[in-house]
Amino acid sequence: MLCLKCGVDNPSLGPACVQCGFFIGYVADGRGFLPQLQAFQKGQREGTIAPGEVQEGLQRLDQALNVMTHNVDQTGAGLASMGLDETQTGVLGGFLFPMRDAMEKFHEEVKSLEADSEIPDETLAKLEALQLDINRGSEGVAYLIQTLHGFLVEKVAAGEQLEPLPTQPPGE
Amino acid sequence: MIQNSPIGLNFGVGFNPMQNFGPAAQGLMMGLSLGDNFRGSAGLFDQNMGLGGLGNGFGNPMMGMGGLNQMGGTDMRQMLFLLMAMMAMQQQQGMGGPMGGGQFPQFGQQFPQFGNQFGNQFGPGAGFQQNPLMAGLQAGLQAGQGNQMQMNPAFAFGLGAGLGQSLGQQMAQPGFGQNMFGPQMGGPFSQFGQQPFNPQAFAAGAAMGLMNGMNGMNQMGGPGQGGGQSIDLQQGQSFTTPGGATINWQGDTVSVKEPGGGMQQQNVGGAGGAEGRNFGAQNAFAMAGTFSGQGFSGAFAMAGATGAGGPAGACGCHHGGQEMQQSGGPKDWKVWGDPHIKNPNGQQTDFTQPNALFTLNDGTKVLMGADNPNAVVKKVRITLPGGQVNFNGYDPSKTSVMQDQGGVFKPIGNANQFMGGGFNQGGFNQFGI
Repeated sequence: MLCLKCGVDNPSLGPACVQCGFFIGYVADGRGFLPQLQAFQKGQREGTIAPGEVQEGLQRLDQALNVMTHNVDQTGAGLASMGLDETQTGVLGGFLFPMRDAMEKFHEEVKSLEADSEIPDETLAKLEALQLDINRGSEGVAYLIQTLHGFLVEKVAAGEQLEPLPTQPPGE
Repeated sequence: MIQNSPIGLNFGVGFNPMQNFGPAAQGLMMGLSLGDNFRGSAGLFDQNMGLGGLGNGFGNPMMGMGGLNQMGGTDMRQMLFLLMAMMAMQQQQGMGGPMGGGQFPQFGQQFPQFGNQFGNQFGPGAGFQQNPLMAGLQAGLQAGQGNQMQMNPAFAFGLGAGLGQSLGQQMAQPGFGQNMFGPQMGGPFSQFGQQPFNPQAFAAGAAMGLMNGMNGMNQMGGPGQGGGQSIDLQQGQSFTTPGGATINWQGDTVSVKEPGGGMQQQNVGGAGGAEGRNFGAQNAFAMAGTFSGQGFSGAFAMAGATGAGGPAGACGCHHGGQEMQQSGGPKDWKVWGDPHIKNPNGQQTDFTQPNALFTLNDGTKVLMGADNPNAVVKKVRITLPGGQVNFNGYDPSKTSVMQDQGGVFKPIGNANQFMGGGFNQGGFNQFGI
């Protein structure tokens, strides 16, 4: 989990940043960056976090969401390049799109946040709802993975031979 | 509904689901997709039921999945590879949902049994093995002779090279089985992520272990064996936490070794990563579940890892090559006898109540129980980081909540005083435990 306060991408599962101790929440809770936004809010209210730090944090969050969305795009492009038929691509799109859509809306909402003012309750509620949408989308993709895996097991069990994996990274 | 990604367009790989996935996507998104109508269900992950337990109606997104089964196995593996790499990043950032957590309690409840069963059956030293024939991870599951869960090596394989040797080594460690198939999918990926990463790795890596012939859920333990995100350690067993700590219960001694901040992970370079570590460069995730099909049923576990940041990978993180750190230094301590505590600083103290709850550096909670403050430990329950401690079978009012204060575990109250929790609402968090 990326710490929005200091920028360390924590390998731990939370709840505190290993670098600065900032509250990053529990990864397993699936609340994404919301706990950190709330912690910023609390810190600002108590005067322990300066608006400048919040601004930096929001920038980090913006970049992180950019990267995550791009990651979904890359995945979509990669899947689309596999020569799937219409039904197959449709199914995949149906799983990926809701997640990406929610992620983008979440990002848009984050862009509206201002460092020197508290997050309005209405905005926070929107973010919570969008986070839930992201989770639902992710849940679908996780289930897709699980199902594909089941198919693959069946194929292997039926004797299908899989091509060997490349031993070198592409292009090397 | 149709949205182009401005980010994607900038990089020439715009993801327009209508363009990329064809008209069929519209139907799914309009009516049959996961969108507004999909909330998951109690049977979502119960694959012993048809189509994920969601029935055969249009509300079940799995209805379209049959088409995917038409593709070849190699393509399917590649597809899995891509999806898992994507999910790895989201899981790592807490954007993948509370996997295995409260949303699908029945799913989480499967795993302690699954984990324990796996650990019991395979024990130390069993699990995944490296195949030197491939540069990356080649995980082969090898079952011991006569084990209940017979794994056919033909069904065990690894994907990708991203985790390389580190994952293979990790997988070979005692207790890995328990962890891999543990109750909380957030756990294992952290463990992988803390391992040294191979910067020469393939763009993404994944490892899978498949188990066949498990007879489905019934073999994983019946109702009432554990629950949620807790694992009941058995005497003679060892468990490795997501943060790499080992909890070993032998005889009347429960030994805990915590690695603290000693583990290193390498920075993965890449365009844009000159100053900062690539966001998402070292993500991994794991998931596990059960499945059934015509003529067989079984269970699986997967772990995936991304290994590349790429042009968009820079996040402004302030330094690269950083150490993996936890909230404290390395610790060795144990509980033994009736029960005594040999504290991290060497000092010896005693239980003052029958039960004690310890929190490790990585957030794992270890609950130990004896019949009385002067009896040996009879039960050990492990709760993975972020999980709610399950006090079933333990009296919270007779459970000392221990906090490491300068190398000595001191009770700071009884567990019943700390129940509640939540962000900024007291509970365990307010005490930093």
